[in-house]
Amino acid sequence: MSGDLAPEETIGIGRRVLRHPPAVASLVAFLLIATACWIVPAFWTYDPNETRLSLGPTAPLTEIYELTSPRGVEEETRLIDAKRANRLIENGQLALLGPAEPRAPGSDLEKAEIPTLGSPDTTIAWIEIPPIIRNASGNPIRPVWISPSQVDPYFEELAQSLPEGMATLPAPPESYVSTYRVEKTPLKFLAGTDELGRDLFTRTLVGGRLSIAVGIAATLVSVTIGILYGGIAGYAGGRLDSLMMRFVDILYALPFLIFVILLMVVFPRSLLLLFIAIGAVEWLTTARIVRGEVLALKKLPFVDAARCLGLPHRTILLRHILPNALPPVIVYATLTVPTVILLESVLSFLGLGVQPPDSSWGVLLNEGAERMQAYPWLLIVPATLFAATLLSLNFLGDSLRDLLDPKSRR
Amino acid sequence: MARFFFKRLLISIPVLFVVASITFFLIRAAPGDPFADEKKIPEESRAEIVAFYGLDLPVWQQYLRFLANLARLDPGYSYSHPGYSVTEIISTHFPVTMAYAIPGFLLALLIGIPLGSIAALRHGKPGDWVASGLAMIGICLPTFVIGPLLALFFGGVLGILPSVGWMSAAQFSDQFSPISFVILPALTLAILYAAFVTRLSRSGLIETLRADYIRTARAKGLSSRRILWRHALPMSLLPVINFLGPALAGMLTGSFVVETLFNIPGLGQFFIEAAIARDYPLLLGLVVFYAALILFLNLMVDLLQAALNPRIRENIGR
Repeated sequence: MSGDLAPEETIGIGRRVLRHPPAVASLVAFLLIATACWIVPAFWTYDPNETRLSLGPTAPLTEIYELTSPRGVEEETRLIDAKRANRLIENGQLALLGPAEPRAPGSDLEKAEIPTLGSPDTTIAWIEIPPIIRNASGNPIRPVWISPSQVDPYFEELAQSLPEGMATLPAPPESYVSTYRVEKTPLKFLAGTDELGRDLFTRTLVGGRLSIAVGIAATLVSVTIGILYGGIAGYAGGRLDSLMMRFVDILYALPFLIFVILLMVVFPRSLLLLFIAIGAVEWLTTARIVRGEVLALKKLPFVDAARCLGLPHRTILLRHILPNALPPVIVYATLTVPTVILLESVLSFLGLGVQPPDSSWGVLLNEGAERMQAYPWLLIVPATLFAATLLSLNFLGDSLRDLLDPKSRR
Repeated sequence: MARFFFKRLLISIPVLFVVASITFFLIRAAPGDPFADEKKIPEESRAEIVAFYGLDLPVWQQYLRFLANLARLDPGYSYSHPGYSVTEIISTHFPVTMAYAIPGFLLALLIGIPLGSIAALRHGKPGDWVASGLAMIGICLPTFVIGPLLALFFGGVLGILPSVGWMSAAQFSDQFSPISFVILPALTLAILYAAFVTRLSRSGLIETLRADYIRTARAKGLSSRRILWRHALPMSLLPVINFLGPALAGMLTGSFVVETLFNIPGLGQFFIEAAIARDYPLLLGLVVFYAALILFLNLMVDLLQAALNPRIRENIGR
């Protein structure tokens, strides 16, 4: 492979890549994703870190309603999605129109109109009753407060389970009637929200920053180690070369991910350690590739020429040989980035990678996989972007390899 | 051949020694104390525990002790599972990992080799694109996304396989037989490697079919079926066999993820648990065990390679 990689041909590679549509397409796709990760969250309407606890997980593009209580206990407005808004209205109706006997004797709330969600602003009302549960001798044990958020599952059940007279009201029932206004808000989340009501779209993009950064940084670490190691082994040759490559063979045979896990567990977790740990695992193949290239390159006349000029070995290796060995390394590095992104996500999945205040695709995918049955978009959104990134990088690497492979050039 | 085997076996002893030593000093250098977050215990009983495990000795003595234990193949008692020796833990839980890892490994080959070969035979046609596309998807989706998706589909939607748990759970329901608990973990573990095997066997077969000796066979007038099965396929599998070593190592670590996903009491969970709890004997025992296992499996792969490739066989014979 290396024999026909004369310098003037390696210069042409960049131009040849540009004439190869799949390579350009995947490169553009990757660059688009990467720039989107850095730029879009800054301009997007929603801040990825803004939590909306009352909202919780919302499906993509659902309408969001605002629940305001003019004279309730809670003055803050709550955000709810359409499904919960409907449920609240239904329950409000149930509370108003249901068997009112033990709860609101004599109130004429039964005449209340049934609101629908479609109307511009809907007012719903229901009763928050603190029934007092008494023991057998008639002494109160504790009041049971039923708040609007809890009303749906328990209200009916509780009212029916209490024997007559056991639930009494400390004040006239009217004082417990809350009115809420349900209003449509302009909020709409492209990819829905997560458990804390954060915008999943920007969160996924921001998580991508870390994943892509770790991927590229760890690849640079591994490529640097690999180039230097392989370059020295190939240039020195002889016994040193076989000793160094035997060492690589032995390392190849070891379960290195175990060491990465060990490092991540044992030392205080930091991003720097993550780069180093992953980079230290991935350099082996680069070293082999570079050594092979250097072995072939050092026999070429331009190296003899450099030697005749009296240049030191360092300069010959760094300035003359290694730059020519770069193309296959670049191909391999392109394929290493997705491997590293995948490795990072596995570590994050095991709880050993990026830690919660920060987020990466691994963290998001892990959260999504856990809650997939109830909220599938939590997995689908990050998984799509993740797979698209890996796909574009793998595809780019494959096309580059095809371009460099003299056999397929025919 | 036998000489090669024993030579390699002898080389792996110093390698294991180095691995064990690096791990030993690595975890001693790290902050943390195995009995740090235990509930408040009186100082004298704490000292007693520390003395019982020999943690009060100077580090070099502990190291010698550890090496002696290792030579006897008995790393001692686990801290976090009192009363259990490390060998006991490995011998009870490793079979669990094997029970789904071996089927998973075979499954990866059974899916990957036919898929890759078909893709190579239909090189450049729609069949090739479908197979390569499937392989690409398999590589781009992490195990912990594929696992829940499979569990949701087979366990939730179709309801034909248990979506979580292990064989012992079979006694609580008549719905699933113990064997059925193996299928989803094995499949989850297999998919990533099936994708790699597909790509390797595809490119291997494409390359082989272009080789001169295949042209010779064709010129001799052999049937294309005979060329494929006798001459092309065995040689095209060499890159696949080359990959088996890394694949086996990867599957061991993949088992950490699969065991967390499906809640399987295999050995992988113990590794992470031991590392977090600073359970030195268990952690060291497991690292050495995994390293020995992988060295052995790599040796097996090399032997298999030699058996299939006449060129390598000659090199070893000499």
